[in-house]
Amino acid sequence: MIKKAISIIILTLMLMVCTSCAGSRELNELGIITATALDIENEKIILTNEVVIPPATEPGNPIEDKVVYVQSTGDTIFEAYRNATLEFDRKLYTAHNMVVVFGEEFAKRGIGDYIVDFLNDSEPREALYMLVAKGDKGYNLLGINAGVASTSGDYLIGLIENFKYTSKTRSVTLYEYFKYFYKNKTPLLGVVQKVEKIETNKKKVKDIPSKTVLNVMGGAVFRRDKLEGYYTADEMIGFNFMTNKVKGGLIVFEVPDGKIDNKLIATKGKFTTMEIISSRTKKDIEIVDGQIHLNINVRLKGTLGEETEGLRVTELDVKNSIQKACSKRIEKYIETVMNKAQKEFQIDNLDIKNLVYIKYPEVWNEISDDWDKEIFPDIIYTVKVETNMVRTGLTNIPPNLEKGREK
Amino acid sequence: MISRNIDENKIKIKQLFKNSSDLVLYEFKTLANGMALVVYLNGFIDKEALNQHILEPLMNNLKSSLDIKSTVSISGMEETDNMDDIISAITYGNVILFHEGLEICYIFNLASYEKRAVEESQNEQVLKGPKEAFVEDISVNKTLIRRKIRNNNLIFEDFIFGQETNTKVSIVYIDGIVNEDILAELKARFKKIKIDAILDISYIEEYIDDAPKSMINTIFNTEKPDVLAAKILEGRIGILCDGSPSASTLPSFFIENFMVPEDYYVKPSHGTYLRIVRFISFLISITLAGVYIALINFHQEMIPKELLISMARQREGVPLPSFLEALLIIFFFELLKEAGIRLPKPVGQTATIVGGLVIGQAAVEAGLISAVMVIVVSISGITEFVNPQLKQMIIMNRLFLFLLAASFGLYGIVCGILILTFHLVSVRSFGVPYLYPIAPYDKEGMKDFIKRAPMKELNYRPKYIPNKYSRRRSK
Repeated sequence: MIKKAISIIILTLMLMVCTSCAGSRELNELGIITATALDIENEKIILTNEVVIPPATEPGNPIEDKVVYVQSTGDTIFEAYRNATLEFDRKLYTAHNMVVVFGEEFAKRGIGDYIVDFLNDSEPREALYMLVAKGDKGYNLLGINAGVASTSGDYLIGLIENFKYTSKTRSVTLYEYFKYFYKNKTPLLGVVQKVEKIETNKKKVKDIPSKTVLNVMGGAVFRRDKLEGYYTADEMIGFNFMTNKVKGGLIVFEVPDGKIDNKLIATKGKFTTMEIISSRTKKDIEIVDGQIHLNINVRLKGTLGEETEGLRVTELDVKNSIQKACSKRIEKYIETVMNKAQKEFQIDNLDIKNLVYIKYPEVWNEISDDWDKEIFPDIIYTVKVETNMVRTGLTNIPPNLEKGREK
Repeated sequence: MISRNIDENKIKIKQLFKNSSDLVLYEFKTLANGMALVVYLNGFIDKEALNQHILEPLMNNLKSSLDIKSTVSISGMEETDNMDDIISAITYGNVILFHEGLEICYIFNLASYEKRAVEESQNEQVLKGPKEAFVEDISVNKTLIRRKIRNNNLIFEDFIFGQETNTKVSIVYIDGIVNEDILAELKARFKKIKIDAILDISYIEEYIDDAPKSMINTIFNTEKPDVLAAKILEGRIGILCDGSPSASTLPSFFIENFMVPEDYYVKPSHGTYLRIVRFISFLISITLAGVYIALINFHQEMIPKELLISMARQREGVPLPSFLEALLIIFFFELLKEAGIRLPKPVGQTATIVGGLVIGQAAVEAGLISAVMVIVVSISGITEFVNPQLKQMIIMNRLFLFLLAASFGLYGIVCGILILTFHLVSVRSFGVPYLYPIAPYDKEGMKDFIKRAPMKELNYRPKYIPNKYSRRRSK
């Protein structure tokens, strides 16, 4: 009995001493990373991390987290992470890092060779957003914070996650990237770039007349893991329509002039905006006489956001012509991106080869080797868009119509 | 043996009670021209009745010593010639009458003593429903039950325990519903009780407990007669103990700890809601401290980033490792609880307020402990109060899980919960599975589990408890 009691006491005491040894870490031993940038210079990887060091709380005072930037180099990313501990007093904790920015040069080298560490290590998240710094070094973009978030990493995440409001960019995570990569598809990454703006804050404008913000519009086109070029914002809308990833956003278009009952229904040079409620794209492929035909069907539900052309939106004919014009605009978006993919990049990142593979597996076996360079650029496609304007917004008679009544 | 001589009897009783100062021996002359002696304990009897119904008739009307029975106008009267009986009769508040020339004596039951009035229950308060609670006196408690169940099948069986205290213990059950096997088992366990004193019913509980070393209560305890009545109506056996204001019922299920009489006095859906709240708070109170320490020490990736940064902000500058920090605040909380209960009410409240507000806040501001830790420990403390029946189990198992979590993280918690579950599944209360009706599963029993079904649907008594799986009422 005494033996038992003593051993329990000793075990408890050991427990108290040993608790921190069994892999446990205190919160104040962590350097929580909020953003990472990867660059390559002189054949060495340059790893830049944004680390939040929360200060001790003092009651009554507003708290501002300290943000420090830790840069380290190495031959591999893992080595670079460990090398950081030589110059930084806390172990970097990557589990809460949600965004990594690749420098343009790094991306051109081929990211697949390097970022294996993010996939292999237990700490980093698979939901990590990946972006390419357009025409810049990754570390130049880190630390720019023009938003309300407390760190530039959170600011950047906010921008990426806003993509559903415009469809002019894409959010691609580490998990998605490698999912495509392993399936022999060609992924596309988001883009971020620095933009100089005029400072409008009157308190700051005396010292610095301009401010730097980040912009995430567009997309980075990869051939497997090497950067090839960029899509513009408009091309990204087409791309998102093609890949059925449109979650929202706007279509801005012109309704052509026309007359109904001898009345002009549109003014040239003005625009109408359609807000996307939902959209669905179906792609189908056919081989006729050895030629691959691609049929793209888009069904779009939208609400009239605004119209500045003076349209009688309550009239059925006008509604039809608005829908038609909107469909035309989307067709154009898709044509632009198809042209660029077929002619300029010759990269099938629209996932058309998968359609061929599913429908004509034998044909695919024959043509798979020279798909990107020879077959894909010659595909003939037809786009069919069906727009359904379900609401006209809160006004029935646009104010522009009232202009004409002065006469 | 009783002597014909009054003086001899007097000396004998005086000797047996070692001349105790509360023993009253009153000698008087009866009309039958003989000496008589009444013996009783002071303050234990109704003196007015003694004077009016025993002394006065004996002095004025008694013709012969053989007419005592017809002269005295008292209903409860016994004859005896056994000294042991006399002693126990005196200690239970009876009056003993000796008369010159008789070899027997008479025992009159005139017991009347100061007792607490039936009051509102303090520990199991309800908003709706009966509010009265048991008192220390066993005969009052018996009437409280009898008044709930007016049925000739309601049976009280008395036992005397405690070699020194001779305490009356009574079991109560309904004949025809009670399980005879369990009743026999209980009586067998009663036979094994060897104890010098019984001051509360918990003494008996400890002797007949199935798992005395475990933190689990296999015997349910209540201080409300309506709860006891409900339990024995389901076939359970109740135990009352003289001097104890609470009663025990057995066999007991784990789920009984989450049941409150009010569940049955409000609408079924609301009763169910309250039980869910209680069950969740039980889970929180037992695991929260452990999960928190596991998350901040081992699994930081599971905490949302904003929360993690805010927690890290508070940890910044705290000198102790979070394990010791948590132990400190848990210990501090236990201190506050003990102080609040033991101290006199006005002082106790002050101590809790001073302790909770001033010291708690000051400790956070001084950077000794982090604010989140205070929140976590107080939440697990408050949720513990939601299930007072489970208090002992919660406190010990929370500490157990906490130590496991501090050494092995969530892995430790999962192991701890597994161990606890194995234990709960294997424990039996008087042969009845403790986790009924989930293990073993019973569809009828599930109607009165976390969900409280409407009365109309509660057709059957819990399986295993009554003598047969019986309907509550005829169809």
